[in-house]
Amino acid sequence: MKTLARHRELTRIWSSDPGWRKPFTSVNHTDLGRMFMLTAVFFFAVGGVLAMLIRSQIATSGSAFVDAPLYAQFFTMHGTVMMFLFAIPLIEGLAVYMLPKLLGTRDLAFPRLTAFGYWCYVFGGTMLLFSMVAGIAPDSGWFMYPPLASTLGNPGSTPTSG
Amino acid sequence: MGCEERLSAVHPAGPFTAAIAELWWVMLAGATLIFLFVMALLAVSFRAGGTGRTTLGLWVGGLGLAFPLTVLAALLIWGLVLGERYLVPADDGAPLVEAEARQWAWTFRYPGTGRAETENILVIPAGRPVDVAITSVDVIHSFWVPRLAGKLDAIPGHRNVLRIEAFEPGDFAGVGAEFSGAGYADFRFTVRAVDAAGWDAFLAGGSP
Repeated sequence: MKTLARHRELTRIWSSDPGWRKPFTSVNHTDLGRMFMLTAVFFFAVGGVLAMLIRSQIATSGSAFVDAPLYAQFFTMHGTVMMFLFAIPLIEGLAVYMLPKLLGTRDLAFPRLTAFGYWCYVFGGTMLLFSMVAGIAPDSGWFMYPPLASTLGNPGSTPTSG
Repeated sequence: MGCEERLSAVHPAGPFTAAIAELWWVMLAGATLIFLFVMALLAVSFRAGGTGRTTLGLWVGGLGLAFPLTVLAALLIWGLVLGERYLVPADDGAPLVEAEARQWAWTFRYPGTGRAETENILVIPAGRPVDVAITSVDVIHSFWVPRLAGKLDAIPGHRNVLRIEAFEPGDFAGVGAEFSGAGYADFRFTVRAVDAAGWDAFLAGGSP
C-alpha cells in the first residue's frame, strides 16, 4: 500500500464519529485533550464554589453557616477537587492535546488508553461530587493522613478504604 | 500585649523562637533587597537599548549560579544549626515532661516527680530549657506553642522530643497544628511558665 493511501486509511480508522456520538466514542488525542481541559474547567468552577463556601463560614467568627463536620468536607473537597480534578487533569489534557502535534505523530502511542483515562477521570470525579451531595464526602483533609483518613478517623466508609 | 499576639511567632517569648524570629526577619530583609536588585536590573534592561555590554559568565555563572547557591547554602546551614539546638536536645539534665495528644485534648505528665498529670495545661519552669516528649494515642496531631518553639508532630506509637523554653513566667497559647477531625477548631492548650518557687510548689502538688 502506498504511504498516502495508508495515511488516509489510518485517518479514517482513528477519526471521531460525526455528530452527537463524537465526544462519547472518540479515541482521538485532539478531541480527548480538549475534553480533558473542558472537564477540568468544570471541576475548577466546583472547587471555586467550595472555596466561596469556606470563605462564607470564616468571614465572621463563630458563624452558624455550617457545622464543623460539614466544614471539614468543604475544605477537604476543595483541596481534592482543585488538586486532583482540576490542576493535574488540566495539565494532562494540555499534554494529551499538544504532545503528538509537537512530535509530528498521528496520536499518542495507545489512543484508546487516552479515552480510558478520560472516562475514569469523569466517572471518578462525578462519584466524588455525588458523595458530597449525599453529605458523606471525605472530610480528613486532601492530604489524607492516616489514621485520621482511615478507619480510626472515619468508622464506616473512608476515603482510603476504597 | 493584645490577644492577637498570643499565637504570634514574631513575638518570641523564649530563646528558640527568638532565634527563629531573627532568621525570619533576616530572610525578609534579604528577600526585599534581592527583589529590589532584580527590579533594578529589569529597569536597566529596558533602558540600555540592548548594547550587550555584559558577559555570559557574569549573568549565568555569577548572578545565576554563584549568587543563589551562596545565599541558599548560608540559609540552609543557619537553619540546620538552629534546628539542631532544639530538635536534638543535649543530655544536660533539663526537666522532661510528656505531652500526650488525643481527639481533642492534651494530657501532660511529669515523670519522676510524683506530680499528678494535668489536662490541657502544661506547667514548666521559666528561664530554663524543658524537653517535651510528644506522642499521640489516636491520630496525628501537632504540638505548637508559637511563642516558645517550632511545631512538632505527635505521632501515634512514636515519641518526638522538642525543647522549649520561656524567658519569663507567663501563659502561652498552644494549638494543634495538624487537622485532626471535627473537634479541631477548639483543640487548644496553654503552657504556663512559673518561677522556681512556683515550679517547686507545683511539683509538690499545687494547682497549675
